[in-house]
Amino acid sequence: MYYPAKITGSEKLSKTLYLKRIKILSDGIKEPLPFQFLLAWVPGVDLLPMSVADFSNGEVVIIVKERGEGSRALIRLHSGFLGVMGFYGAGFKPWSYKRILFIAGGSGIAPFFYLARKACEEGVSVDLVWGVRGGDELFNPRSLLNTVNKDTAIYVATEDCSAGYCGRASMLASRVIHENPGKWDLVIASGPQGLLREVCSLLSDTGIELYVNTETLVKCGVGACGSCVLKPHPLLLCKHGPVFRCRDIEGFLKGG
Amino acid sequence: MLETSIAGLRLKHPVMNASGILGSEPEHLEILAKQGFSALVSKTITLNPREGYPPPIIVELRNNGLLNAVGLANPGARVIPVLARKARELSKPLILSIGGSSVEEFVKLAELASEAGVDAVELNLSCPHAEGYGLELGSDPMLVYRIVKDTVSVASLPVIAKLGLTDRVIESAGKALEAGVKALTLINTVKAMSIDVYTLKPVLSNKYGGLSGPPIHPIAVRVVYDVYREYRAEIIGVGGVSSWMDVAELMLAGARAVQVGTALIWNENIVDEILSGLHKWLIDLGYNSLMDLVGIAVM
Repeated sequence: MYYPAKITGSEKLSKTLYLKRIKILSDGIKEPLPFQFLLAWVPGVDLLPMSVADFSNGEVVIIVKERGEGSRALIRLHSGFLGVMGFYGAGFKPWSYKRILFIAGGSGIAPFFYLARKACEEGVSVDLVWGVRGGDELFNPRSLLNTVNKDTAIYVATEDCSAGYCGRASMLASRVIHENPGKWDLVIASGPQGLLREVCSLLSDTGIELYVNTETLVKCGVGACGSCVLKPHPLLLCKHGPVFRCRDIEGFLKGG
Repeated sequence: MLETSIAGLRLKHPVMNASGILGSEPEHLEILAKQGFSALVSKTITLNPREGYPPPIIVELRNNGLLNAVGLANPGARVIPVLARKARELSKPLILSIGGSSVEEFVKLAELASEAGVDAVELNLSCPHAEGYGLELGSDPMLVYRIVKDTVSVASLPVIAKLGLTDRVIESAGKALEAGVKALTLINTVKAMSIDVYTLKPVLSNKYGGLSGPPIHPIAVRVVYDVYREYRAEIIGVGGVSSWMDVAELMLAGARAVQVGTALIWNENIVDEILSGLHKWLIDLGYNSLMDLVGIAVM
């Protein structure tokens, strides 16, 4: 559904990541499921797929990474109007698991916050491994984490070795999993395709269920245009995803 | 009980997908086949690849309609044999929708479709939002005649013309039949617009788009009725079908088959629901065959 909307809050989280609060200006929007996403329309510029980092009372929180003209325009939009389409995707309700390890790369951390809050309501715990290229991309995840998520452990990795573990998120995740056998029964990886591919292969022998939050070109969000088909699989990110089990999209992960 | 035939294709039931929702890649056909359609209709394929318009290309409206201006995005003619192969693998008849901006382009595409062995072609003479394509051609009955005539002369398969809402749709339908189409698909989306009242701009990047979904269903019923009354032609009814009753109306107005597009977005079980509804309807009315009800409301 299309909703007119307004930016009601902006915050620079780190060198490349910005938080935006968006108020929906018409009635009828339903609370999203974790990993459902929206398309943010910056008039005359672009339409950007965005994860939901939080939602309450018709207000959505998103985390924007500066990467192109569209995202820069959205970041610059401090108090203006925009369009919101959504919420799209099947979402993901992993409530049958006990403890989830969320492995994020860069801005792939965005859906973690909403998942963590919802998981807590369902009695499921979530821990975080977050990797970034440079330490200047980091912010303190706990500052956005709902206070209900007290028992959440946070592990940080930087590829420039300026903070936390020196290396990639997938390597750090692999290490903490081996140091804490049996602690997690579900892994969800979210971020660039390289990270998803590494998580699916590195952790395949851990016996933990492995899911990934995919990214690809999304144009319409409603399953009509077919741009987001995860070739060679008959699956649409916007309809059947964006979260898939590793083994269900092996061909797609290999191709990227 | 629900069997039908259209343009020489014998179908297990009357429900196929409408061109435009998915249908430009083999993976899309797999997704559509899972829905249970009796035949698959491709997205409109043009000779050369088309990027289509930049997003926003689709808007879900407050009135349960859908507005789109995708801009005939498709991979071009090279995908035709790929789609034909996939449809055979899925054991589904394939109706290839083709679009051109000239008579020659339609002719070339019809030749390629014949070579690839698809089951029929549907000429897109009705897309309302692509400059030089679709409705701009279909609103001129003499041009419809020329495109159909030349296409039919080279095609070794049934040719269907898809026409949209214009003041001269009955005339265009007559010319298409005169030039040799086996069936007509009626109607396409209806040219429309949506404006955001805070950003003060049309939402679609193309500004204009095609309206589909429940709001256009009564328009489709009217056009099917008028064309059937005039020519008793074979018609595929399309426009805003979201329940078995919508299908029943189109069939009573003269359609032998129907296409479903927008409703797929909200309801993955739409085909099964329609088929069981039609089945019960036939029993309630005491009919043995759906075909006996085609055009019964027309006098």
